[in-house]
This record gives sequence, structure tokens and C-alpha cells, in this order.
Amino acid sequence: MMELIGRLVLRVKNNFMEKSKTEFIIIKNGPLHVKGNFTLKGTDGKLIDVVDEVYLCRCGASKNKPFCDGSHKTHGVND
Amino acid sequence: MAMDSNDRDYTNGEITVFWQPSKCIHATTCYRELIEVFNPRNRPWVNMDGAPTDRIIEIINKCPTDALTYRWNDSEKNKLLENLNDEKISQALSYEKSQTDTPVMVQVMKDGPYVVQGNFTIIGSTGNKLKSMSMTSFCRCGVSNNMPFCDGTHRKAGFTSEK
Repeated sequence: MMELIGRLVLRVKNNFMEKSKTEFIIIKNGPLHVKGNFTLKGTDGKLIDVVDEVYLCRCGASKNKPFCDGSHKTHGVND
Repeated sequence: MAMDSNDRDYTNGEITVFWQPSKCIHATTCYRELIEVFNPRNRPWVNMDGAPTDRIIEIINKCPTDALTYRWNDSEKNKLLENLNDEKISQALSYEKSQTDTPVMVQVMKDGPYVVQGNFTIIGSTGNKLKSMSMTSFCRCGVSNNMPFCDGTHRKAGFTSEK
């Protein structure tokens, strides 16, 4: 019985840690790929509804800021 | 606090403001909210006559790092502040502990970077793990000289985020 409880606890903890992992992936000459558990606040301080991953503009030229729209291909990033 | 040759202090006789540029992540909170005091185009960039002391303190308390701090010139008042700071630090520590399981916050700054708070990992373009940290700012103007991080160049470059 004790052993069973121990296993259950460990499993919950692992799931939990997996969920709370947040990664910022730098795409060379491209956007910032954010995935995991995060919230995004706009320039007006209001929350922006997003799913669990986004590609954020890193070149400054997107017409759909803060999101990437592919403009980096012509504009470039100082990477 | 460890002194750096770039560190500066400014006083209005009542409080002294300490500026540690090496700790600044260019969140732009100070000059966006109180340009009369914190104006990066001016030298010195801090004008202690630009606003009342309580307003300056309010903004310094909003600085997300220790880049801007202050002390009262009156040693009695300072003791009170130190007690308050100790309280704040222990509160912040317990807050930080409780934050390990809450979502990372990404704040998009107007004409500035992405300011990120929480527990997160940064991964380079080749899949290499760069580092895990709890507070940083990522460049979004495209011209930082310290990619992928913000180095404040957006201001000189005249980056505007409103199209």
C-alpha cells in the first residue's frame, strides 16, 4: 500500500514539472519561438489570448506585431 | 552593493538615487512613466528636480531589477527603509518560491523589448541550451548588439512598435 502511494505522488510531480517548463527558442535571423506555460501581455498591459506556443517578431518589421509575419526574410535580424 | 565605474548617484537633498547600468534590462518603465526625471536623451539622464520625491520613489519601486535603487539622506528614515527592504526581500523570496509553478509572464513593451519574468530556459538556434533564468528582456527591434537580448539600441534606432 505504501509503495503504491509513493508511485502516485512521483507521477503527479513529473506531470506537473513537465507542464511548468517554458522555453524561449531563438531562431537565427528569425522570430522568437515561445512554448510551454506562459502568458503574454500587450503594450497596453492587457493579456493577449494565445495557445501554448507563439512566434514573436524579433526583426522589428512585422506588420502584425508582436507576432512574426515573415518580414525578417527581407528585413533581417542583427544576429 | 558592488560599485562599478559606470554606476552613478543623484540626489535632491532628500533621497539619493543609485543607477547601476549593468543591471538594467531596458524594460523602459522609468522613462515611460516619468520622463521628467528619467530622460535617457539628457545628460545627466536623471533630473532629481523633475518630480516630487514620493513620485520618484514610486517609479524606482517599479524598476524590475536593481538598476535603480534609492536611499533616504536622513539616516533615521533610512533605517525604516532598510527594515522595509528586508521585509520586501523575504516577501520576494517566498513569492519567487511560489512562482516556480505559475506561468512565465511575457510583457511586450511599447517601442521596446519583450520583458520576461518567471522560470524559463533559453535555447539557441542550433538547439543548444543557452541558460535558465528568471528575468530578462529580448530584443524585438532587430538591431541589438547583444542578441538575443535587448541592449537599449531600440531607442537610438527609433524603433516604434505601432506599425
